[in-house]
Amino acid sequence: LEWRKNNAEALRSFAGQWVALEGEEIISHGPDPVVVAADARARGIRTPYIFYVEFLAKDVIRIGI
Amino acid sequence: VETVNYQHVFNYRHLEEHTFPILQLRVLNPLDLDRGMDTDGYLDSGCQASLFEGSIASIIGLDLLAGEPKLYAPLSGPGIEARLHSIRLSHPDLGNFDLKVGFSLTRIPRNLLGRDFFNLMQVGFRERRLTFYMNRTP
Repeated sequence: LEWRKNNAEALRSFAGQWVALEGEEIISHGPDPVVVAADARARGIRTPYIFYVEFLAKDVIRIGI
Repeated sequence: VETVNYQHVFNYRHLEEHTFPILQLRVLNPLDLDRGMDTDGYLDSGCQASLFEGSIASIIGLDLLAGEPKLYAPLSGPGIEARLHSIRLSHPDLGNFDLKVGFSLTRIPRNLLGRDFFNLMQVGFRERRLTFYMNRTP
């Protein structure tokens, strides 16, 4: 999503959390994705888009899991 | 040499600070297609079988622990315990895929689309252009 690219700095404050995004609005966030999903559904989002905000230091390389 | 004409092209996704070959997919419970969520899957040809964050199983209405146990072996450290469940993956351009994937019992930060997914999709990478190409496997 272009939104995540353009809002990287804003997302930094959600590092280590799960975020439900609807359009360009953060609907819910928190450490438990089940709670985040339930919150999003309670707000009328039937199929929420949920992702984990992972900020790693620049010298960290991701290799799958 | 075989030439492949790809029908779909995707840009790598810029997540926070880096770019990755990621496909945003809808994950659905095949027994209750109203229970779904959208999430990101990292294309990982080195991953023998797909592995998803276990909470997703709960979110789409599956009983996580009811699935067949599997252990996913990382490069080092203890393995990741998972349970296999049949799910439907859906993408607006690529269509639907029924797949049995592992859901982790411990929290993992990203979902991996492994070789079982690559068996359903032919994938080509063009790293220098930060794009990947896909066809449904005939």
